[in-house]
Amino acid sequence: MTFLKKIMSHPILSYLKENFCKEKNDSLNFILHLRGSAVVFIFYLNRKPIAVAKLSRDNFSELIQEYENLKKLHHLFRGFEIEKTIEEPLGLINLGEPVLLKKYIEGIPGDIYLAKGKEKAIKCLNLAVDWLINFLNNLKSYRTNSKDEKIKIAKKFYQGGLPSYFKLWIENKSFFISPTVGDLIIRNFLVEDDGIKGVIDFATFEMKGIPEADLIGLMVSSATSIFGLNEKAIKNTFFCKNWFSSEVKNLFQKYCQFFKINFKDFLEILPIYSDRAISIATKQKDKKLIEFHSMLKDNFIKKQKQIFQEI
Amino acid sequence: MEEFLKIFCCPACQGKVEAKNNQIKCLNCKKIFSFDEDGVLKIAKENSFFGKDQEKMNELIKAIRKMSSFEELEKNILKLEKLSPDFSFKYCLDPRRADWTFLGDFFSKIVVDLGAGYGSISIPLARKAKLVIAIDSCLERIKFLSQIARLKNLKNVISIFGDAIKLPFRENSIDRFLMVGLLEYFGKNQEKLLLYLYKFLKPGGEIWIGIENKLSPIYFLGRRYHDEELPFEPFLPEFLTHLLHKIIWKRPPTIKLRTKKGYFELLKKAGFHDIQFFYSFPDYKNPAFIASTDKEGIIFDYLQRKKWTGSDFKVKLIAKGVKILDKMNLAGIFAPTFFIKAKK
Repeated sequence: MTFLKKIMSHPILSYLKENFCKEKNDSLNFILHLRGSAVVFIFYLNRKPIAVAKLSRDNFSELIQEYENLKKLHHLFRGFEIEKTIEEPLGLINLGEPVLLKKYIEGIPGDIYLAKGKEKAIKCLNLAVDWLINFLNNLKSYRTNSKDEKIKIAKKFYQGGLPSYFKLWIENKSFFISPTVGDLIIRNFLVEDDGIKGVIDFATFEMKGIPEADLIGLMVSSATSIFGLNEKAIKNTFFCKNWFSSEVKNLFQKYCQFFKINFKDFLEILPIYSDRAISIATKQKDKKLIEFHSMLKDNFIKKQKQIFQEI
Repeated sequence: MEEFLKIFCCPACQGKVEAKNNQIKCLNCKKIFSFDEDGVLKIAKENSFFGKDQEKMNELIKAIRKMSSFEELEKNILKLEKLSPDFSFKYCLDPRRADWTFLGDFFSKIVVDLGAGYGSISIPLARKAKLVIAIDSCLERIKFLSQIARLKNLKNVISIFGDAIKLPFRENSIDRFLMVGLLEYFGKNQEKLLLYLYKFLKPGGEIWIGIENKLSPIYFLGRRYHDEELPFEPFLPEFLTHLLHKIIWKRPPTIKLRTKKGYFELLKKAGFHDIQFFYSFPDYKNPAFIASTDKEGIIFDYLQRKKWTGSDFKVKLIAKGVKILDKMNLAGIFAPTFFIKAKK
């Protein structure tokens, strides 16, 4: 295949060959995975996945950004245990368009792991939230709760007056700005029975983000993966009594306890997540996601007092 | 245009041509080929409309003609979808339909997309290729494609209303031919068509084919390729298929599907070499994944880790079936569709 031949002659693939190919008759094959916002090659050496190459249909800058983000993250986490879970960039190569080459991470995507039953789902959610707390805690030196910085972030979503939940988030000093994944979803966790093997897709990583939005995103993406992208997911996560909503509430409380945030205040700022999610879905021109997150935001605002009330 | 004229010759006599005032004139036989109001170069005479409602399709083109940017079209997608039953964003404009082109090298190449339809491949490919020549024998479709190229300001897309069997190119001038969902319609004449295309390719040029596998599991379940086909037809002897078609539809069958081995032999007979198969699941129109080999168990491994798409029962069942086949090294032989690359 021409693409492969080209990539084979590239220094990055030489790196792969040097590190992975030991025999002359080693065979390198691939699966082209096409169900996402990007195009992804998964390379197999002698039947074992070794690397992934990510290409973009039209947003090359996002790919370059992701590469820079991964380099930055490895720099930030140097010396911390969590670094092992951040996917490793092998290089950004130019084949007429940028190709982001990354080391393959073992593990099953979180959304598939969730589907393996209640027990595994609870385990997976807990592992993911622990990872997030660890992520934020390791980067505490980059935290700030400066009002000015918070206003700057809020202005990304609202040009004019700010809604009350944003005002609360700005005024309340226990809410902080921190480096965040930016669009943390359960599918991007690669999980095995013995723990999180890795986390992928840091294209939206930002140094000054809203950590609570990552936490809520994690729960909402888990809910949509279990119940579908519909009203049922909203109801079963925030407004009904069941094992899933109990777990979501527990994990929210765990987070609030760790970072000394008032749980009631936390519930009030839930729509901030929706504002971020709508903005991402708008950029992706994903009508279904925009509709879903608008509906979720509506529920967060109109039925604010009923959230977790039955639990 | 300059690049296009370098490879263009009169489709009637292969004579040299000159371009003047939106027309191309053959210097030998004096035939004139014109670009119409939609920027389509008209070579074919007969329109084979391929859709549900020709009149409404023309209304759709009329509406698009008035638009000035692709953003304007995007804002009006729902309106346009209501205007014509033949138009849907997902089928006609979703750039993901061209994702399979990441398999090959199309950078700075002269690419001819035969049976280009609405341009779901030609349009995204224009970003990489030097020149994309989109050809279709359905005038409405190629007009639509040409309008989309205009709205996207793609100067390297040439839209031709023409036939795959009467091409206006010089020999050894084309880098890539694409035939996605087309070869099967040439029935008994598949080899003839491939031999014909071969001469236009530059040495080392490639033909890319997207096509169904005769042994696709869906045919074992009695599914038909299209309305004018009998259940289990791919497995009937040729003489019986002919006989039944003559009795039922009063004409011979138009579709011919082959097995992996069948396509390999067909391409080899037409002179192609370095024939490579890619296994596309669940189909070639909107693949979820494509495998470069059917021999190393990588399809099984991939399905074990990744969700195919959605979580409905049918998809899970198919994924399970594919996994079992791959365990037996048969996922390739029974793959639903192929992308095939062959070199001159």
